[in-house]
Amino acid sequence: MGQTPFIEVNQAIVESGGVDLNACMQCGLCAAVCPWREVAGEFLPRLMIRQGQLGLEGYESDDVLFGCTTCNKCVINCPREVDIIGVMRAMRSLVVESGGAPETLKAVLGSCHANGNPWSEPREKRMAWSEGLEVPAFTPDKEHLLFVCCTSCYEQRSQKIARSLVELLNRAGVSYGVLGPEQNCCGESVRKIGDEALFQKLAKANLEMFQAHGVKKIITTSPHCLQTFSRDYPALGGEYQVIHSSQLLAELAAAGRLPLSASDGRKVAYHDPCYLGRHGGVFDPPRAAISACGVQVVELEREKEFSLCCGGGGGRVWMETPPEQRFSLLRVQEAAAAGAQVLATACPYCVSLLEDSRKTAGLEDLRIMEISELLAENLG
Amino acid sequence: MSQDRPNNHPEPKVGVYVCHCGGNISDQVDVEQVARQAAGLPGVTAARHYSFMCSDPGQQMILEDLTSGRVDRVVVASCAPALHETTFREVLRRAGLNPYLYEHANIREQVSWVHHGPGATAKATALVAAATAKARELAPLMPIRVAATRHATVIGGGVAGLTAALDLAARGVEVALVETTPFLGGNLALLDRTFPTNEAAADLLTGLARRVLAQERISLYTCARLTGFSGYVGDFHLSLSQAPPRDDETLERLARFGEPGPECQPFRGVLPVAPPNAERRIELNTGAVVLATGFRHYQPPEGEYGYRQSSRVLTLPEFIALMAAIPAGQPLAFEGSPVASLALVHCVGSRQIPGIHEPPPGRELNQHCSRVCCTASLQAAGEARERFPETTIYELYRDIRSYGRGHEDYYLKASRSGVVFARFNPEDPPRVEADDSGDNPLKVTVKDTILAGEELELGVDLVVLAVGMEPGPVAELTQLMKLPQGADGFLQEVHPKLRPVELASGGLFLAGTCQAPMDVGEAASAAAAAAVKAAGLVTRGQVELEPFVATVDLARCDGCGDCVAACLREGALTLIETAAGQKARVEPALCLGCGVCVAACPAEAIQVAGWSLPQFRAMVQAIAQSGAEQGGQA
Ligand SMILES: Cc1cc2nc3c(=O)[nH]c(=O)nc-3n(C[C@H](O)[C@H](O)[C@H](O)COP(=O)(O)OP(=O)(O)OC[C@H]3O[C@@H](n4cnc5c(N)ncnc54)[C@H](O)[C@@H]3O)c2cc1C
Ligand code: SF4
Ligand code: SF4
Ligand code: SF4
Repeated sequence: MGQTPFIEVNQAIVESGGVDLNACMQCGLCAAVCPWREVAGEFLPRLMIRQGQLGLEGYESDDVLFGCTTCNKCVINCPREVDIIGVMRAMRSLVVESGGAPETLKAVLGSCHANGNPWSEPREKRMAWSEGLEVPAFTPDKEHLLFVCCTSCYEQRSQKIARSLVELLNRAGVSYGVLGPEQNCCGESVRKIGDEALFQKLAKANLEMFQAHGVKKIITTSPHCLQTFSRDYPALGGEYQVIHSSQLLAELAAAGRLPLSASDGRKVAYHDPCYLGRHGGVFDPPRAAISACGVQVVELEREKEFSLCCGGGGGRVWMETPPEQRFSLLRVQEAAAAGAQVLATACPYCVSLLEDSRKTAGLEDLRIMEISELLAENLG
Repeated sequence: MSQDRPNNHPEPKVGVYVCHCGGNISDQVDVEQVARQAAGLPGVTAARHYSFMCSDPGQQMILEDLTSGRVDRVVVASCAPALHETTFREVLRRAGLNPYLYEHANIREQVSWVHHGPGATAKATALVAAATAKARELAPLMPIRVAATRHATVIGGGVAGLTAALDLAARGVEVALVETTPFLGGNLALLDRTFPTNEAAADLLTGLARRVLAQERISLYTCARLTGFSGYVGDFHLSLSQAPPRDDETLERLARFGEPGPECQPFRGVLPVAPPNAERRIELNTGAVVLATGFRHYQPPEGEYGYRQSSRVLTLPEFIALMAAIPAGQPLAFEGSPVASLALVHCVGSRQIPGIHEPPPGRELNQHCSRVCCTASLQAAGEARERFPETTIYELYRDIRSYGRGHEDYYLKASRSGVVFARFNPEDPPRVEADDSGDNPLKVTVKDTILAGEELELGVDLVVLAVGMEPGPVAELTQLMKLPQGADGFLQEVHPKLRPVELASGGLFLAGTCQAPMDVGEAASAAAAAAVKAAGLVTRGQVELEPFVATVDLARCDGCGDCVAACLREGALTLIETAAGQKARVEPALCLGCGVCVAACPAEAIQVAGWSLPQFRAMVQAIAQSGAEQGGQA
C-alpha cells in the first residue's frame, strides 16, 4: 500500500511560519553539509522537509526533528535560500503544541514558564553568579544593560564567564548595570524548540522590563541572546542597540581601555560559535580580542562560516547525545591536533559542551576558555 | 605525366609543407624525415616543416615561397582538409595564384591519430608523395558561377517562418511564404502566456502578422502545398498547389473568424487572407528555400497514463486552453465539477527508452528531450496554484530541465506556490487508474525516488500530460526535396556547430522546430540566422560553387549515353545534339562531382575536374613507388 500525502500538514507548517517549506527542491545540499554527517547521525534535513511537504510521518522523533542544532550551516548553503531552521521550527511547533516535545525539553519549557530560566533554578537565585563581586544594578544613568545568559547565571562552570566579564568591564570603566531576578530567559532556544507561545511570553516580559528601566544599549554574554534580541525582538517592538561581549571587548582593547599584559604566549585556537559567526556574521572582533593579550593564534581547519557546531543550539544542550555523536568531541580533538593549548570561544553553550568533551577525551593539557576568561587572566 | 607535358609549359614547382600540429602529428610522425623525403621528389622546389602551418607565421612561410617565385603550387600535409583546405587555398589567392593549384595530405586523422611507430612516418611519406604527384598535374580551375534569383521561399507560417520571411524582406529579398493551413502562427497560437516573458502568444503573433501583411515584398500562399521541386541553389523551381480547405476541424476553426486580418485569435491563430475558393497551381522561381515546418505535439496512444480511457486525462496544451477559458476569480473546474487536485506528468512522449517504452506501430521512439515541456509545465502549475489556490497540484517529473534564461524562476515560483513535486524513474512510471472508492475519480500511484522509493498514492480529479515535441508531418516534403533527417526524425543540419542552419544541399536552410525542439526565442534566433544566410546568398546575384564537377571531352565523347544512365543526380547530365553529333552535356550547378559517370564512360571522355584519371594514376604510382622505396629501406 502506498502512502497518501496529507497536504493539510504541509499547509499547517507553512501557516506556522515554515513559509519556505515548498521552496525546497530536494537537492540534498543541506543534508550533506549538516554536522550530523560528521558523526554518522541519522538526521537528514532534506528528508525532514520532504516529509513535511508530503505530510508524511517519520520526522517527529527526538533524533530527527529535535536533532537539529540550528547551526545555520545548511541555511547559508541552500541554493534556494530556504529558511530551513524556520521550517524546522514550524514543524517542531506542531509537535510541541500537541504535547509531543521530548521529555527533557518539556522540563526546560516548564522551568522557563515557572522560573524564567531553563535550568529549573529559582528565579531569586539569578544573581548567585556575582557573589563577592561588585556588580552595579542597572539604572537609567547607566549606558549598558548587561544581560547575563541563564546558563552563566546558574551553571557553575559558566558563572566564571560572567564573573570574568564584569571584572573586565569594571577595569575598563564601562558604564553598565544588571537587572537581576527581574530578567527572564531571552527565549531563543525556547523558540527553536517550537514553543512559540512561551517565547512570546518571555520576550514580552523582557521588553517590558527594558522599557520600564529605559534600556538603550544591551551587552549580552551569549550569542543566542544577541541573535534573538537583534532578529526576533524588534518585530515585537524592541528598540535598542545590542552588542555581544566579545565585540565590546575588542573595542575596549583597541581603545587601550583594558590593561592587558600582552605577554600570554600560549597557542590559542578560536572556535566560532554558530550564533555569533554563521548567524551573526561576527568573525573578526573575537579574534581581535584574543590577539590583544599576545597569544599565538592557531586557526582551526573548520573556521568562520565552516565552523563546526558544538552541538548545543536548538535545545540540544539539554538533550542527551551519546559521546560518539558529539560534535564537541570532534572539535576538542581538532583543537588538540592543531597544537592548541587553549580552545577559546564566545558562547556559554559552547563552553559547557566543549568542556564536557574535553573531559571525555581526557585532554588534560587543553583548556576551554571563554574570551572574557582569557582576557581576565591577562589583566595586568 | 611530365614527359607528356607540352614543351611550352614550364615544369611545375611544388612546395611541400609538413605540419607538426603541436605534437598532434609530430609525436607519432617523424615530420623532419617526411619533409626530407619530399625534398627529393620530382618537381619539389621547397619542402619545409613547421609547428602550426595554419598559424599566421605558417601561412607567411608559404606566401613568401609563392611570391618569390620559388614555388607555384602547394601541398600541405596536416589535419583533415575539412578544417584548413580553404585556409591554404586562400594563401594561393593572396599570392595572386589560382587557388586550386593546391593539394592536401591528411596526416593527422589518417595517420598520427590512428597509427603509431615507424609505420606512421612511412604512411605519411607515401601520402605526401601522392599529393605531390597530383599537385604536379593540377591545372587552374575556375569556380562555377550561377546566377541567383533575388527571391526566397519560406515554407511554414509559424513564428519561425514569419520571422524568417520578415528578416529576408528587410534585406530586400522578395519572399514567398507558404503555409499549408489557412492560418498563421503555428503551434504558438495554441498557447496562452509564454515563458519567459509571460507575453500573450496572441499579442506576439498579431505583432508579427501585422508586419508580414504590411510588407510588400512578402507574397503569402496559405492552404498551399509544395508539389514540385527542381533546380539548384540560386535557381530553384517550385510548384505549389493551393486548394480550399475541406477537413472539418479547419472548417470549424474558420467559421469562428470574421474578416481576415492580422489579429490573432487566442487558441486559433491568424487568418491573414481569405482561403482560396478554387484549386490553383503556382510556379515559383526562387534562389533559396527556408524550411520552417515546425513540430507536432506528441499524441499519446490510448491507455498511456489513462489517455482516452478517461476524459479526465488531458495533454498540457489542452490544460492550458482549459485554464484560459475559466473566467478570472472562478475556481478550476472540469466538465462542471471542481478540480480539488491534479497531477502533471512530465516527459510524456519524450526521452523514451528502448526496452522500457514501446514505439507506436510503424514509428520510432522519441529518445530526445523536448526541452520546453519542463518550463511549460512549471509555468502552468505555478499559474494554476496562483489562480486556483484551492487546487492541490502534484508535479511528477524525471528531471527538471528548466535550462533557459529565466526558466528557473518558473521552477522556483511553482515550488513557492506550493506545488508538490515527486520524482520518478522511467522504469517505474506513475500509474493512472480510475478510482471509484475514494473522493477523487482518478488515482495516481508514483514511486517517489526522493523518498527512497516510497510509493505515493494521489487522489486526483485531473491528470495532465506534458506531451513532447515530435517532427512535423514532413514526409512529402522530405521526399520531394530530398531533405536529410536525423535519427530523431527532425530535419538535420550540415554541422551542428559550424553550420547550424544549413542543409547539405546548397540553398536550403532550417528555421525553428522543424530542426529540433526549441522555445520561441530559439526558433526566432534560428529563423533570423537562416534569413541572413539565405539573403546573403541570393542578394549577391550569383552563387559560387566548387569547380569539382564532370567535364566532357567532346572530341572523345561518342554520345553513347552510358554516363547519363549512370548519373545519380537528375538533370546533371543530358545528351544534346551538336554539329558533331550527339554529345553528353553537364549541368555544373547540379553535378555532385561523384564520378560515377567517369567509371561508366567506355571512351574515357568524361572527367571530374580536380580529380582526373591522370591525376589518380600519378598518385597511385607515387604511392607504389614510395612503398617500394621504404620497403627497400626497412
Ligand atoms: C505545451 C507547450 C508549451 C509551450 N510554451 C512555450 C512558451 O511558453 N514559450 C516559448 O518560448 N515556447 C513555448 N513552446 C514552444 C513553442 O510552441 C515553439 O517554440 C514554437 O511554436 C515553434 O514555432 P515554429 O515556427 O518553429 O513551429 P510551428 O509553430 O509548429 O509552426 C510550423 C508551421 O508550419 C506549417 N507547416 C508544417 N508543415 C508544412 C508544410 N509541409 N508546408 C507548409 N507549411 C507547413 C504548420 O502548419 C505551422 O503553421 C511551447 C511548446 C509546447 C509544446
Ligand atoms: S539545501 Fe535547500 S533546497 Fe536543497 S534540500 Fe536542503 S532545503 Fe531543500
Ligand atoms: S541548522 Fe545545522 S544542525 Fe540544523 S539541519 Fe541545518 S546544518 Fe543541520
Ligand atoms: S523538457 Fe522536461 S518534461 Fe520535457 S522532455 Fe525534457 S525533461 Fe522531459
